[in-house]
This record gives sequence, C-alpha cells and structure tokens, in this order.
Amino acid sequence: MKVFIDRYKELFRQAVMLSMLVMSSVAFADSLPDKLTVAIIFKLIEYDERFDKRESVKVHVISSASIASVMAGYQGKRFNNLEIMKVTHSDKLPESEVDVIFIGGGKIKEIVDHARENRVLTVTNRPDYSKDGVSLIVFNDEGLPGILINTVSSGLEGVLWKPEVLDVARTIDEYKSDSL
Amino acid sequence: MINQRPAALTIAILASLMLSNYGHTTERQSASDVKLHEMSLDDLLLQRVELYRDSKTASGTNETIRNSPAAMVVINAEDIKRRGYDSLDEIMDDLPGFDTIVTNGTMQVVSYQRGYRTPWTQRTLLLVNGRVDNNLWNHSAQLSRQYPINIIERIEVLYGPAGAVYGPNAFLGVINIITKDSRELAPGESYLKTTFSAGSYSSSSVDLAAGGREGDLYYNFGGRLFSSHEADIDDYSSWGFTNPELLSDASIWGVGIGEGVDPVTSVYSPPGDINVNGTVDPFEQFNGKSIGRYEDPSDNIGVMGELGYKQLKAGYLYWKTDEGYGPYYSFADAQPNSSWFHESRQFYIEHNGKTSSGLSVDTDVVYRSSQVYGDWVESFGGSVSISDWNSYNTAVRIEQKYRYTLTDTMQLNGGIKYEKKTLTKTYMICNYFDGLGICPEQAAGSVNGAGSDGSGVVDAADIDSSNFTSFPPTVRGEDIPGYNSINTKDIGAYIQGIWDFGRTRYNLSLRMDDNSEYGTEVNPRGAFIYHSDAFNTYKIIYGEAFQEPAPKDLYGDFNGRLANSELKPEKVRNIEFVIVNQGKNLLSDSSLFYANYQNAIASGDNVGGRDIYGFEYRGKYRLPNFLKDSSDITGNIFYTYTRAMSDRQYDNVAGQWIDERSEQGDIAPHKVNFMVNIPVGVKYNVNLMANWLSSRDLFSQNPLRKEFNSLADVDTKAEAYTKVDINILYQSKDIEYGLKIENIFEEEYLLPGVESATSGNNFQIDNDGFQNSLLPQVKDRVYMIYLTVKL
Repeated sequence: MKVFIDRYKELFRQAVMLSMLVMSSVAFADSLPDKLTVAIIFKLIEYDERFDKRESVKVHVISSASIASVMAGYQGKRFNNLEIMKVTHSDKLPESEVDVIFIGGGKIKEIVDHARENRVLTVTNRPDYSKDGVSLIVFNDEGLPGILINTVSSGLEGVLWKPEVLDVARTIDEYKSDSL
Repeated sequence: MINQRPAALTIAILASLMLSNYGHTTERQSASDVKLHEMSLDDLLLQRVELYRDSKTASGTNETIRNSPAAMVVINAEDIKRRGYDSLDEIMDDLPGFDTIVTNGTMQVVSYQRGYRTPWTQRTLLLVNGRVDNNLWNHSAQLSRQYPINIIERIEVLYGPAGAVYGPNAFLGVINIITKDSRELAPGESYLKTTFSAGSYSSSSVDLAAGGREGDLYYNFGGRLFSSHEADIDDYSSWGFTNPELLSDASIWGVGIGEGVDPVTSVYSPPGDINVNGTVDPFEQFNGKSIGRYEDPSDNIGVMGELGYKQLKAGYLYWKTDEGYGPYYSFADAQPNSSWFHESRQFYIEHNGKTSSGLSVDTDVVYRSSQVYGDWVESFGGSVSISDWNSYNTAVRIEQKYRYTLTDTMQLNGGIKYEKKTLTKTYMICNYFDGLGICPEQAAGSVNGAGSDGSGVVDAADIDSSNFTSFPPTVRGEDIPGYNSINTKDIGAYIQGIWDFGRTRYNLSLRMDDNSEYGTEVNPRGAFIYHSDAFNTYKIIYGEAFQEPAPKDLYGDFNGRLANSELKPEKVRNIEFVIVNQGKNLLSDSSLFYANYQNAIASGDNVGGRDIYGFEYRGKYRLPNFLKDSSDITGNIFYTYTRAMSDRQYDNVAGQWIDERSEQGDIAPHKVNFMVNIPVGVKYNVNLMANWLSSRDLFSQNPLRKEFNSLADVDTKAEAYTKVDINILYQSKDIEYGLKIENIFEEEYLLPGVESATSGNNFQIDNDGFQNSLLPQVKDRVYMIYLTVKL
C-alpha cells in the first residue's frame, strides 16, 4: 500500500512540475539569462559519463542566436576538463558531428529523433520543450536557475548521468515522440 | 562653421553605416562573465537570475545588471502578470525611491525620484527601448494608462544620474520600457496575447501583443485601448475644495456654468447651461456631459508596431491620453469635466551592424512629435472663461553608438548624437485674458497683437442670457506661427571605457553636450565594481547630469504659472555605494547615496541648491511554500529613507523665495513596499502588495506648511498611510483569469498637491490657488477583473 501511495505521490509531483513548466512556456517566458544558461549547461555536460574521457566538446545551436553568441564567446576556453572546441549555429540540424544540440526552436520532433539516432545530448532553455522529449532543460525557477532532466529521453540519447546530478536536478520520465 | 557640424556628423554616421555589415556577431565575454565558468555548479545554481540579465540601460551597451554602474530595479512580464499591473501608473506606486502622487488628473500620476520634488515627473528619463519618450515641451513622463502592457518584456528602473551616457535630462534616473522582440523567436514561431479587463467606475481596457518571425523577417505589435469614467468625487477622501457643490456655485461660475436664475428672463438655468437659455444643449456638453458638476472621464490609446529584416528595423510608437481634471485643481478655479490631451508619435529606423574590424555600430534615426492640448474652464478673480490650449513640438534625432572590444578584459564604447527640435515657445491660447498666450484668430483685438483678446472672459456676476461665456476658436497644433516657435540643436558625444581586472570592473564615461540655447555641458561618470566572491558585489559610483530648462519653463508663462527665459540648467552630482548580497533565500541590494543639486527650478526660477541623502534597500526573498505541491513563495521588501534639504524656500506671505535651509518637503522620509506572491497549486496565484509611507512635510510653496506661511494656524502634513492591494490569478495553458482589488482596507488619505499646490485650506475663501494643496485619494475598494487569452 505504501509503495502504491509513494508511486501516486511521485506521479502527482511530476504532473505538477510539468504543468507548471508548460504553463510558463509562452514564447517569451521569463527564461534564464543566456550567460547563466550557457555556464550551467557546460558544467552539466561534465555530469554525463561519456565525457569523462573526452577533452573537448562540440555544440550546435538551433534557432537561438543569442545563446550561440554567448557559447561562441567560450570557444577555445575550458570548463574544468572540457574544452569548448566548436560552436555552430543555424536553424537546421547540424551538418557535422556534434556532441550537444541546444534547441532554441524549430522542428523539435525531427531534432530529437536526430539526436537519439546519433546519441547526442539535447538541451534547451524552453520549459515547454520538456514534453517534446528534450533531455536537459535549464530554466528560471522563481529567480534561481533550475535544472530538469528527462530521464527517458536521456537514456534514448545515450546519456549516462552520474548519480550526483540528482543532487542538483529534478527529473521527469515523460517523453513524446511518434517514432517511439 | 557651426552650421557645418550637423552635416559633417550626418556624413560620418552614414559612412560608418555603410562600412558596417550584417554579419553574425559573437559576444566576447568580459572577465566578470568568464568568472561564471570558474564557479562550481552549486554556486551557479544560487546565482540570482535577475543579476545576469543583459541590460543596456546603464551604459548604453550590453552588460549584466550585476556589472551595471548603477542601482537598478527590474520589473519583468511575470511580475506584471502576478501583480495584476494594468498600466505604468500602478507600477510607480510599488517602486522604491519614488514618491508617487496619484492625481487622477491631467497627469495621472506625478512621481518624484530620489526625493527631488518637481512640478511633474520631469527629471526622470522615460525610454521605450532606449528612445526618449518624455514630452519635448514640458519634459514630463506621461505615466498613465496608454502604454500597451502585454508587449512589455521588462521595465528597467535606474537610480541616479546617467548624463555621461544619455546627455541631457537623465537627471534623477531612467525608466526603460523594454518590449518583446520577435527576433528571439524561432523561425516560423508567432504569438498573440490579448487581455480584456473591466472594473470599478466603468473602467475597461483591451491590450494586445503579437509578434512573429519568418526567417530573417520579423514583426512586433502592441496595442491598447483604455476607457474609464473614473471614481466619482464621493469615492474620494474629503477635501473642501473638491466639494462638488462648488462646481455649480453661481457666485463662482455665474448662472451659465453655475446653477441659478437668468437675471434677464428670470428663467431657471441648470448647471452647464453656458448660454443661459434654460437648457443644456449638446454643443454645451463636454465629453457628452454638462459641466457644472463632477465628471472625470479618461480615454487612452497606445500603438506600437515594428517590422524588421536582419539587422534593420523600422518602427512606430503612438499614444494619446485624454484625461479629465479629477481633483487636481480646486473646484472653485477649474471645472474637472473638460479634456486635456497628451499625444506622442515616434517613427524610427534602427540598424545594428558590425564592421570587419570588429567595431559594432548601432544607428538610430528618430522623428517624433509631442503635443499637449485641451480645454480649460476657469474661474479666476471672479472672471469665467472657456479657453483652448495647444503646444506642438517636433524633433529629429540621429544617434550612433559604437562598441569595440579591445581585449577579453577591455572594451571601448561611445556615441554621437545630433538632434534638431522645433519647440513651441508659449502656449497657443484662445479665448483667455487679453494678451495671454498666442491666438492668431484673436490677435488683432489683443493688447499685444498676438494673444487672446479677452473677449471670452466674463465676470461671473455679469453672466446672463445676453452676456455669457463664449466658446473658443480651435487652435490647431500645426498652425503655430514661426514667431512662437524656436529651433534648437543638440550635439552630443560620449566615450566610455570598461575594464575588467580580476574581480574588479572599472567603468569610466565622459560626455559632452552642446545645445544652441543652453550652451555646453560636460558630465563624467566613474564606477568601481568589486565582486568579492560569487555572492557579494560592491559598487562605488560617482555620476553627474544636467537637466535642460523645459521650454514650458523658459517661455510658457500664463495665468497661474511663471516662466523665465534666463533659466539655467539644473545640475546634479551624485555619489553612491551599493552592496549586493545573494543568499539562498534572500537577495539583498542596498544603496547609500548623497546627491548635490544646483540651480533647482521651481515656479519659473532657479531657486538654489538641494542636498539629498538616501538609503534604499531592495530585497527579494524566496521561501518554501506552506501549501503542498505549490511553487515557492516569493516577494520583495523595499525600504526607502530619504532626507531632502533645500537651500531656498518660498515665503508665502512675502510671495518670494528666500534663503533658508530646510526640508524640501513633499517627500516621505520612510517608505516600505512589501510584496508577497503565493502560488496555490498549479493554477492559482495570490499576490499581495502593501505600501506604507510615513508622514511628510509639504513643499514650501504649499501654504499649509506653517514654517513658511506665518498666516497659517497650524502646520499641516501629508499624513502616513498604508495601502494594500491583492491580485488573484487563475491560469491554464492559454487562458488566465484575474481579479485585482486595490485598497482592500479602504484606507482614507490625502497626498501632497503638485505644482505650486497653492489652493490652501481655507475653504470659505477662494484664493485662486488652482492646484489643490492636498490631493484626495480614492478611499473605496477598486475592483478589476480580467481575462487573458494566449494563442
């Protein structure tokens, strides 16, 4: 019985969180500032075990010139052990191999499917994309940065989150993709 | 040689515009921003979002608010939604460092920033996306219900002089309204948000925002219509000179506007029967209602549209306020049911480019017009008149801002400006006292061959069906004769260096402005910013600014207000210490400042210096919600302490300014704003706002201040008060419903009168003081319901 109640509570908690995020997700939601968004994303990449043995990371930004601009400013700089090697920006899928795709807009389903096929981590600062299967969402949580990880999507993208990430991030396990 | 300067400047601007390209810009990180990557993730997650917002308001170039050389408060779209703000005037009440007087009159609110008392809100620069929107003629910021609200992304309020970047009139601070920019949308994305509201006093509004982006093409649109009958005079706190019986008193207004019996025909003449024929005919009505009784209708409209392609954008901003006079003036001197208009237009073209050498160049070309006009129904010295007033002003401004990043830690910015203004000198006034104002249609009969001829002014005691107050000929703003206008030229240039050195940032600016009327002014600013760790920031800021005397004060004298063409610009020097501390549950931001002012302008005169000391605490808290499955409780606590001293005071008995250092007056020494936002589950939100202001002395021109009016029996102050508002919001994905209740405890209070505030409080004697010495406030609860639909 207790297991059932806990499971119910957890489902309710997730539903509440998702509802709150979706409702704050008009096009001009009060998102996290770009500089803070980028710094947190680059820090969080290190929580993916796949990057433990890597020295650099390549990022492609889709439909967010401002995020691309900030990320490009870090090009050649190191975040702990990882060098931000290359940052590209367009409104389309990346033309070359990348490790991370930042999604600012566009055809989300197509991007998410591409990421899953190529085992690329998807990231966004738009809470409404949580329901579309983006793995990592960095958002404005009542004036402080908040992190949300979609565990199902992360798994499909091959992300191996270190357990410590749960100390700083909240998780949901919902996804939406017609191909799945 | 002087005439060649604008041409050379224009060529320089155009040349650099041509040199600039449309390339994608890369934002190089300043040292302070790069420090973010040195923070641990735990520290990053405790950084306050609002401190990392990019803002151009303080330096004219993008920097985080944490790095801005100024104290600032930001109200974002979420704050606006949760607090139920329906217009700018509501926001002013809840800001620290502002003493806001709700007049409900021709200037809906008058807000004094940082303790500096002026006739209206004239020393705070009001910007819309960085473009000045203060009236060209009287410099007032019209903070009424006309600006579209849904299109606003955030409002940045800067405290302290910023003349080193903006040039003239960024005197006490800056309010910068930043609207949504569809460039931030993804290609193919668009939005539409509409709010309908209705409430007490037949108030209603429609507010619409829309935007979209397709490839490199994008558009932004905002529009708003507001209409209200406003509160009836019985809904206000009591004040003798707003007794509605005064409005129909035939001894003041005659038997035309007033109520009485025609001495010629012995026929009863109702209030507002101007021609004393026994009935109020439609042509005698104002706003569809007769005068001689209390009415105070308001209609506001605002429209903003922008179309952009890549780095080029064209835009249009238009608004108009049509306000009744409310309780602003004594009812023994002015009828409230007539219309006073402020109207503003801006056309602009903006280009953001970058040269191949890495120099960013932002170019802005703006044409704008400002108009103030309306009807004025007056009883002065026993004489009654209905006059028509107008002031029409235009300006063309070309401005360019440059930004060059020398190294990762150094950037050099600057800008140049050329502005040509055509300004009305004195009001166009028809049907007024002989020789006052400028009235082409009555000039031939006037004593000076230019103004009103006095034919519209009739003694109240003589009014009857054969001798009544006539209606004025209409004065069109576009018909202002050349001899009543003046052309001025402003040329300005500034340079700014920003240097990050370890945990410190230095920001040094110097600006020179040359005005064809007022001469040359030089204003520096220096800021030292120190981030001692991830959570603490210290700022020391020194800044100067100057305020041009407004054309109204230079040339616009008329009955009740004085002007002086010899006025000197006002000058401020401000030193400030700011501490910002980011805690887990509390963001504390405090300012301690001292400002010295010279050549303060009051009633058409430079009246010496003022010294203002102040402390502002701007706290933002976040607490766990006591309700299950609800987001955290958040809110603000603002505390403002202000001590404003003035070197000269107005001696009401002698009728002149005298050297005597004392409290300036009209500024509450203590002010507390408390706001709490409580999410209730997923869909409900409750927001409570409480403002407390301490008792305050009145301005020395106000005859109720006994210290400078030996004839006053007692010293009258504006007493302390507490006003509490609540906003309850229900939201689903695309629809929001809200209920806002203002003044829920029905606080009854009066605020200091504005301008010269000389009505006095001897309600048995009309001293023709015009502006009420104390302004009654709405004492009842005010309700508003609203519905927002998002598509």
